[in-house]
Amino acid sequence: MAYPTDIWGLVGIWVGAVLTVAIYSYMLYKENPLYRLAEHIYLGIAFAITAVVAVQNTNRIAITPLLRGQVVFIIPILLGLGMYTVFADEYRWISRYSIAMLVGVMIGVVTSGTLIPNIVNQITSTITAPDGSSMMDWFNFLYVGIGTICALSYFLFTREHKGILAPTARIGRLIVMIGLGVMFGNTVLFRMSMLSGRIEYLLQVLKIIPM
Amino acid sequence: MSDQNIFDRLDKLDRRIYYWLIVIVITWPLISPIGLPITVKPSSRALYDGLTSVQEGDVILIDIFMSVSTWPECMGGLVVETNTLIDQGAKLVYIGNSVDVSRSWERLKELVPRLETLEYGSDVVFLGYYTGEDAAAAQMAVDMSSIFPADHYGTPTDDLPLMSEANSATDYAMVLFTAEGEVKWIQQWGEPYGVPVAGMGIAMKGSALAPYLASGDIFGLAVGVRGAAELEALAEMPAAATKTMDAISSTHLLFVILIILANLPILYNKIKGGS
Repeated sequence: MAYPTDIWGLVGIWVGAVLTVAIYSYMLYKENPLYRLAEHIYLGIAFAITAVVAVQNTNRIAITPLLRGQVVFIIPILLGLGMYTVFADEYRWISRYSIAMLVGVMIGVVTSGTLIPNIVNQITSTITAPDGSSMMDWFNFLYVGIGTICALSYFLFTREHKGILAPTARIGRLIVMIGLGVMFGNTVLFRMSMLSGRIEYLLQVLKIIPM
Repeated sequence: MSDQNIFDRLDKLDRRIYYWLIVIVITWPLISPIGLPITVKPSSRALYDGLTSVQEGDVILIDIFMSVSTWPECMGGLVVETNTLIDQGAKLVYIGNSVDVSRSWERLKELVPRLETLEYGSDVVFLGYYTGEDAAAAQMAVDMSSIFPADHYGTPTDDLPLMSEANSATDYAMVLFTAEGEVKWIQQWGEPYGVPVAGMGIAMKGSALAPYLASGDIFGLAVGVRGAAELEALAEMPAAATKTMDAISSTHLLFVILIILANLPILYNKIKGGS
């Protein structure tokens, strides 16, 4: 993308730069008018885009085919409209059919697909010993196997954590803490990536680095 | 004030100084890249090997689940994936579950100009936004055109030659997810139809995706900006992610130093016998 030369292009990138600084001003100066302005603009635009895309999507995948004679599309359109009756006390019961259909379909579809990859394959993967002789593979195998059992024992609340459960629950807690630490580290990495993206954008707008 | 030691002063330091430090440490490598080495993890290599094993004419489904905010994490990897698949002669079908997917598509076209040279409708198609997660993926597996009666530009999918030859899961050689949304492809395409699934996750998803990699439900995985940089290294096309990795690595080094500094006063007090 080249640096814009037209007036609206320039206005666009500078508005983006100012709003970026405004959002990050929260970290330095807490809740301030500039931050709140940017926050409200962001929320407004985000909802507007979502609404426009939803309308376009409905038009593209349901209304247009319906107008072309595919009458079956009247069913999802009516079910979708039924959702909005939740706002009218008198007709709220209609929304239950839409919600029931939505929940039923999702449960049916997800349940059939989740069993093998999320349960069977995960258990198989955990209890299958590595076929190589790599020390690291064996360490991982033992760590995952012992860690899984210990972490599960930590969440066993039907028995007091005494006797055999005492050391396993304690190790399990450590394993859970390590897991949460990894997730937190990954979250920080993600946030820093986003920050670096915004800083790179600011540098590009200021023409310090090429766009 | 005079009886305060260095640890007390560090403890009371204005937090804004730390934030500015982070900004400086991120900014500097972006202006003047350091060129820190990038080691490639086996999971990223497996993803890249999968991409290079694609045969000419294979149809690949690419789910762009990232929003504009996720570009720094995943766009670099998506660029490598797209370039590699074009090199392999694959036919590409793009879809997206993020409301701003059209912006990501436009950005991808800017970063991969070769996309414009492909024949739209025969070699590449952008079907646009979809909603419905698992239910949509399950329906796509049996009849793609029922979820996408038309592409993003309003052209009926019946008029797109590529979509007539790739209308169900069995017509696809691979599904690539971007950022998120991997579970539905594993559950609805990978397991029931045996379609290989792989992709890129945002860094936050790294630990959640690892079990699927270990169990073989996905054959390759690049995580976060590091994964994107690894793909750039494997494809020998260093770009944005490689440059960003310098900034990320420097920032993490700063974090490690700050964590040590933050813990020193506690250790110091414990050694002194305090609480």
